[in-house]
Amino acid sequence: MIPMMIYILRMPTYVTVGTSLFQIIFITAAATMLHAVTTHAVDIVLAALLLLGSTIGAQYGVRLSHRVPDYMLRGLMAALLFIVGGRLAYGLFITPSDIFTLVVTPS
Amino acid sequence: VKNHFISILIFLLASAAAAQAPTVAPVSLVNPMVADISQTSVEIQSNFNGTQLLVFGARNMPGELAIVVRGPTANVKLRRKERIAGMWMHVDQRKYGDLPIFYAVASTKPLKQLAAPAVLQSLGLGESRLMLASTQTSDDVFDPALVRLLSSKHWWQSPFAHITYFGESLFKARLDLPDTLPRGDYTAEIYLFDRGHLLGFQTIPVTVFHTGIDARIFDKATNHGALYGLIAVLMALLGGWLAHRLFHRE
Repeated sequence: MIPMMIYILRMPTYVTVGTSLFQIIFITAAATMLHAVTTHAVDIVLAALLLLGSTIGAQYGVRLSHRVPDYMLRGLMAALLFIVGGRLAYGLFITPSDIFTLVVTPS
Repeated sequence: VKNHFISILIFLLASAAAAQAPTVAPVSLVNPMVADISQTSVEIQSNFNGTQLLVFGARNMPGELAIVVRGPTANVKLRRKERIAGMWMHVDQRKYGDLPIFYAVASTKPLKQLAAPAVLQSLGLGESRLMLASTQTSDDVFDPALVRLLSSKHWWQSPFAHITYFGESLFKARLDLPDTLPRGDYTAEIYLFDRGHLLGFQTIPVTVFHTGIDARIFDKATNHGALYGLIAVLMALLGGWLAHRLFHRE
């Protein structure tokens, strides 16, 4: 989504961040509702803790994004995606501690 | 569980009918066996570290004892990973319906020696493998893994302890309940067998329940999913807005 906005729509990077975050609100809200109703797997306490860090962090992030030049912002974002992607890929390739996973659902 | 009790009743009636035969042993007026447990409810709070359940009693007739603590049933799914093109992926799974997710058994002699396999099976008594065989078709790959995983969580314990005797009749056994103990209705069952016959049995219900704020959150999450989800979403929106207000007061 973000690369498309940057390279095809030619939007400024700080606008793409805001736009992407705005549309994420609806996706995540819908996903949260679905998880809450079907799997009952929403940990509200953990969410509250994460919220504390992320909402405050976001305020600094917004200020920083206005001061940091565009190319640097893009570079940082690319680095972040690379690290997260790398971690996910690593998880796929390393031998798991157990090849069996147990899923228990009340009958 | 209901079927299980019905089968016990049928079994006892059958034993009683057999006892009408002329060659029978003298009828005793005393209870063949009496037993009790140290607590009939286990309260789990956020600082719960596991606990011990003491099963104790007295037998008034010679025989061998078997003690079972059986937990609530659940649908269990076991998924298996395999390496495909260097990546570990879930390739297949096996479902076990209505499996007791907690099952601890102890006996004074190996269960096989206490009664015939059909009897043990109808009572739901068995080492893990045997217990599986009663409800599901066996599987060489998943079954051992299931036993291993449930045993490593201490949800299946076989045998959970030695039954110790004090003198001829008094006995006791300690069961360690892990901190991850599933909530629900449990039963502690004590059986007395003699040469393949069930002389007496006793079942004592045990309730495992959560208390405190986490129990209330859990209740809301499972029973009022939509409301819970709505609260979560509103909390997130409110949190973001609050942080914004805090940082833009000027």
